[in-house]
Amino acid sequence: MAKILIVDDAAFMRMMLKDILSKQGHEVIEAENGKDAVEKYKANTPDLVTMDITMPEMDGIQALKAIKAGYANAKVIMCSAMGQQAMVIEAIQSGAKDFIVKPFQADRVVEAVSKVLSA
Amino acid sequence: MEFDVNVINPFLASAKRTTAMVAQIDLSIGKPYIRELKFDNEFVRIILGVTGAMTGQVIISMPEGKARDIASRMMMGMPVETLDDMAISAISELGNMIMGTAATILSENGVIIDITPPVVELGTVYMNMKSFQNVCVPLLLDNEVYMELNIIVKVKTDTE
Repeated sequence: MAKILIVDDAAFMRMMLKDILSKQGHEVIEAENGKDAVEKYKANTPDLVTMDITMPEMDGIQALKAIKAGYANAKVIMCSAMGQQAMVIEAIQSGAKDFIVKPFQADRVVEAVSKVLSA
Repeated sequence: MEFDVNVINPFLASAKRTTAMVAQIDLSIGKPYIRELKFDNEFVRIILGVTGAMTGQVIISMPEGKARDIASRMMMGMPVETLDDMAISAISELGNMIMGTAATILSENGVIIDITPPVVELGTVYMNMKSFQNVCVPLLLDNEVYMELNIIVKVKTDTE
């Protein structure tokens, strides 16, 4: 299965996402802010990233841009409570493959992940 | 008492929707009142800053027992005896989701705000924010206060 980097400043949200993705057989790595995410991406080159937006130490949009700058083929799914249209558009234009708005159902995450991985 | 329902309602709608989704509870909205910014030990506070078209803070205050209850519900019924790091993280995320959903609702009316990462606070405090008015709205479950939304925001006008 895939190696997935979960980026979220809330330990609770990382735990929930890890639970959902581990049950699908994926290997999970965690990062707790954008800066940490860019470093962990370089060190681990995961198959997929789930990226929160509102985080201290570099937000998710900046981290997305930084990852895409170095790795054009990086697959990133945004996973944020901020679902404003302008935010979604900025993320997609910056290279995100999908945008999951919190709160979410587990099925939404599973579907998005398998769709992006198989693309 | 004076406040704008267009400012208050998106936060209330969001709190109801978010708690229904993450904790499967149906909160009813109580009567809003102007409240002094003084909190004691019995209430846990989740504090989030608001910037953009509105400025200020929203403080979600919850009786300690209710904060443990919702953290437990969010973690699929895992018992929460004390507000440990994971429970605090769960209620922080609850605050983040309530505010994020409110920001989305506001954006549908052309009001664009951003929020700051949540801070959880315990203990007794008195906050001096004299130029702001706090509109406090209780959210009830079985006629008991489950959560209060303290909405301490100003809408930016063109002259500012």
